[in-house]
Amino acid sequence: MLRNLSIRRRLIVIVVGMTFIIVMAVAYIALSGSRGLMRNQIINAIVEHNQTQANFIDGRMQTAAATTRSLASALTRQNTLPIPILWQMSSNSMLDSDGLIRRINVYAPFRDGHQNLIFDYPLMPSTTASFTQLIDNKIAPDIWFMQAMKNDGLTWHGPERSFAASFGPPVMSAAVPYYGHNDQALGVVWIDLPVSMIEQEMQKAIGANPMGRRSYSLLVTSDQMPIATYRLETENTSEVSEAEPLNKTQIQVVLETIANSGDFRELEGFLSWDSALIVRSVMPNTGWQLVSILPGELLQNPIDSNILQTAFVVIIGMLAVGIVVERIAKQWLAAPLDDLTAAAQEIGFGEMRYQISHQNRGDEIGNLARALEDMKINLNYSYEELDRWGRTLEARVIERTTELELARQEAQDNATELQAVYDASISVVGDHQLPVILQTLTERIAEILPASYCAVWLLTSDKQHLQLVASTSEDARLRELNISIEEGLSGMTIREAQPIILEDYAKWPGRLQVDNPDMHQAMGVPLMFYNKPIGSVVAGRRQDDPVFTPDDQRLVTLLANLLSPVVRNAQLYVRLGEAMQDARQANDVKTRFLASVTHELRTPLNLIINNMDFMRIGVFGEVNEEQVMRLNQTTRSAEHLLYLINDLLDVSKIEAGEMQLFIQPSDPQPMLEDALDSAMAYMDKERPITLTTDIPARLPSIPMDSRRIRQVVSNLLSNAIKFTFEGEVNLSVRLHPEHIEFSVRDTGIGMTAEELDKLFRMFERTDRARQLGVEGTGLGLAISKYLIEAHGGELRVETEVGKGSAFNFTLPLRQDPDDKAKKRVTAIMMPVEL
Amino acid sequence: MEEIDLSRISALIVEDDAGGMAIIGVMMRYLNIKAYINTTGEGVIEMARAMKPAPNIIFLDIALPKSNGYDILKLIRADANFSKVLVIAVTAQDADNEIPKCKEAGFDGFIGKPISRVRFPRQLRRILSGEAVWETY
Repeated sequence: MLRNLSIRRRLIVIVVGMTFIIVMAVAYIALSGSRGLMRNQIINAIVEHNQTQANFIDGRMQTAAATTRSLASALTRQNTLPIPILWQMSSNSMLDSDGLIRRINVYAPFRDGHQNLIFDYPLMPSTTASFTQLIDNKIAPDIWFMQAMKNDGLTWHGPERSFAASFGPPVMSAAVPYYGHNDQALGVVWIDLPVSMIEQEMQKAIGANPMGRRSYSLLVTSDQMPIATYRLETENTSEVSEAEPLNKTQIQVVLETIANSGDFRELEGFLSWDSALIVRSVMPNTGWQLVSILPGELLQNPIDSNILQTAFVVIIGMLAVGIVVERIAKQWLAAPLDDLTAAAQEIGFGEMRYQISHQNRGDEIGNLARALEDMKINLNYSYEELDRWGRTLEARVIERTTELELARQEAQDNATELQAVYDASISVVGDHQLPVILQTLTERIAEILPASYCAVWLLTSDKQHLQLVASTSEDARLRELNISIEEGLSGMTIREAQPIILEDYAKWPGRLQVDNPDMHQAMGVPLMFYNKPIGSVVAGRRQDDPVFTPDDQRLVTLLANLLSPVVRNAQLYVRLGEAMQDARQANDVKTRFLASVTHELRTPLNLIINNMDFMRIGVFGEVNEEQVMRLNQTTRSAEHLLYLINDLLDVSKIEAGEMQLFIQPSDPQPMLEDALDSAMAYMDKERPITLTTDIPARLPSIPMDSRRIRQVVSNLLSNAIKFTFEGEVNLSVRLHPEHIEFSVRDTGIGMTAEELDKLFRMFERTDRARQLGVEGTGLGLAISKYLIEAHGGELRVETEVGKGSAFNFTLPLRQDPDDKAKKRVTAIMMPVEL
Repeated sequence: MEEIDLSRISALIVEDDAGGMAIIGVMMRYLNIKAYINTTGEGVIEMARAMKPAPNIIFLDIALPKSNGYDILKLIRADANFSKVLVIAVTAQDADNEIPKCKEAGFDGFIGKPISRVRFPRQLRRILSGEAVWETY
C-alpha cells in the first residue's frame, strides 16, 4: 500500500512517524528521571519541614529542661534548701514558659529510703521558710525516681498522670538530680509539663506552618510512647488539638510502619486516604520523635498535571515537522517529477518541440531531465529516418503493384479458360442420364468456344454408324440422324481419330446435306476412350466469325477427353440397370413360382408323413416290427422330400437377397424344446447313443427369429445324430456378457480336413455320407451358416476324424440396427459376377 | 405347461383339403380334443355359435375355395362372443410371406403345414397357455 502513495506522502509519513517516536521516547525517559527527582525533592522538603517543626517543639521543651537544670544546680552543694531562691526561680520560669511548666517539685530521700516532697511550686505556701517534710506520706522509691537519681543529666519521663492531682491530666516530667558536697545525689528536681500544653506547642509549630491541607502529627518519646497528637484540618475551621483523633490501633500501625524505615515511608490506604506519607523527625535534645502523617497527594508530581500541556506541545511540534517535510518533498521531488512526467508524455505523443526543464540541476532529478532530453533528440532523429524510408517504400510499392497487376491480368485470363472447362465438366457429370449429359456438353461447348453450332455423335454398337445424340440446332431434321462413318465431318473425325478443322466447310464436298447453310467453318474432335474413338464432337461457325484456332481445338479436345469416360460410364450404367432389372424380374418370377410350387408340394406331404407316422405308432391299429420299420422308412423318405422343398425355397430367397428375418426378443427355452422334440424323432432304438442337454434354467430373452434359429438348432442336432453311431450327442447353451453360445457336440465319425473344407458348399455331400446311407439335402449347413451370420452371429466347427465334432454358434444379445456384420453375407451363397 | 387338460378343450377347424382334414382330425383324436370341422369356409360363425361347449381355439386355413382365412377372421372378431377366442392360421403357404400378414390381421398364431406330430402337442399347449407360436415344420 505504501508503494502507491506519492513520494511526498511517503516522506511525510515516515519522517513524522519517526520523529514522533523519537520525541516520545526522549520525553518518556526525561520525564521518568525528572519525576524521580521531583519526588525526592518533595520528600526532602516534607522531611525537612517536619524536622523544623520538631526542632521548634524541641526548643520549647529545652526551656523547661533548662529550668530544671538550673534549679538542680541551685540546690547542689547547698547546706540548706534555699527555698526563697527556689521560689523565685520557679516563679520566673513558670511565667517564662507560657504555661508549659505546670509544677516544680523537689524530692529528697530519707534515710529509710522513702522520698519526700520538699518543694512543690506553686502548690506549697510561699511562706514556708525552711525545709520541711511537705507531705506526710512517704513516697516509695519508684523505678523512675531511682533512674532519675542515677542519671547524671536530665531524664524525661512520661506521659503519666501527675501525682499531685491524682488522676489529673497527663504530663511529661523532666527530672534532674542535685548533689551534696560529696557528689552524692541527694534528690531530684521534678518538673511537670502538661501534655495539653505540649499539644499547644505542637499547634504552634505545625498549625502555624502547615504542610498540605490536612495532617496528623504524633509526638512520641524516644521509646515510642505516644505523648500527644495533633490533627491539622485546614478545610474545617476547627483545629482539634485536645481530642485524639487517631485511636490506639492506628497509632500503633503508624509507629510500626515507620519503625525501621528511617524518616519517610509511604503507606497505602490510611484512613480514607488512598495513600499516606509518614514522616519522622527526631528531636535532637529531648530524643522525642515527631511523626507526621500527610496525605499522599502531596507527592503528586506537578509534572503529571502538565502531561496534557506536554502532549499538546508535542502534537503541534509534529504538525510543524510534517508541514516542513511536505514542503521540502514537494519542491525537491514531487514537483520536478511531475514536470518530467508531463514532458515524457508530450514527447511520447510526438510533440518534439517540448522544452524539458530542471536540466541544470546537479542531483538525480537533473540527471533524469538530461536523459529525457537526449532521448527526445534520438526519437526525433528516428522519426525523420522513418519518414524518409516511408517515402522510399511507397515509391517501390507503386512500382511493384503495377508489375503485379499485369501478372494478375495474365493469370486471370488463363483461369477463365480453365474455369470454363471445369464448369462444363461439373455440369455434365452431375447427371446420370446420357441424353442429358450429352445435350449439356454440347451446349456448354457452344458457349465456351464460342460456336454457332455444336453437335455430338456417338458410335453405334456395330461401330459402322454414327448416331446424332445431341445438337444445339433447333432444326428437327438435325435431331435424329444416323449416318455411316463414311459420311460427314463427324465420320471423318472418327476414322482419322484426330481433330480436324475445315475453314471452308460450305464448299466441302463431304458435308452433310442437312447441315446448316450458315455453317462455313467447322471443327471436329473425336471422343476417345482408351485410345478408341466412341464418338465425335462437331462445332461450326459462321463465315464472319473468327476462325477456329488451335487453341479452340485444344479446348474442345480437353473437354472431350474429360468427358469420354463419363459418357462411357453413363452408357454402361444404363446397360447395367437394364440387366439388373431383367435379373430382378427373373428372380421374382422364380421365387413366386417356387413359393406356389412348394405350397402345392407340401400339402400332400402333410398327409403322407403324418399318416405314416400315426400308423407307425399304432394309432390305426397294431403294427408288427417289420411294418414299423417300413413305415419309418417311408416317413423318413417323405420327410426328406419336404426338407428338400423347404431348403430349395430358402436357398432361392437367399440368392435373390429376399430372405427376410423377423428378429424379435424371444424366449430361447421353448425354441430349444421344440428343436429337441424333432431331434428325438431321429433317435434310433437300434443305435446306442444318448441325447443330453446342458441348458441353464433361466435364459434371458434374445433378439432372434425364433423359427429360423430353431431351424438351425434342429439342423445341427439332426446332423450330429445322423453321423454318430455310438456315444453321445450333447446340446449345451452358455450365456456370455455380450452373446449367447449354442453348442452341439457329438462323438461321431468326425471330418477330415478335406471334408471340413467343403462343409458349407451347397449340394455337396461327402462320399462317406453317401456310403453310410446318411440322408441329407446338402443345403442345411449352408443355410444355417447364412441364418446365423444374418443375426450377426458366428458359426465355428471343431472336428477330429473318428472322435467327433462340435458345432458352436453365437448370437449377439443386442442387435444394433446399423450392424455391418449382418450385411456380411458369405460369398458362397451369393456369387456375383460383373 | 403340462397342467393343461386337453380333454377340456374344444376346437373348431376350418380346412378344405381332404388330406389336411384327415390329419388334423387324427391329431385331435390322438390328443383327446373335441373338434368340429368346417370344410368349406362358409357358415363358420354359425357353426361356432352352435358348438357346445363354445370353442377355445379355431384352426383356420388361409386358402379356401370360396373365401380366405383373413375374411373369416374378421367375421369371428366382429362377433362379441368370439372376439377373444384363439385363432390359429394353418397353411402350407410360404411362412415368410404369410406370417407378417397373419400377425397384422390379428391371428394368435401360425402353424405351417405339414404339421409335425412330434411337436404339435407342445405347440398346442404353448398356444393355450397364451404364448404366441409362429412355427413351421
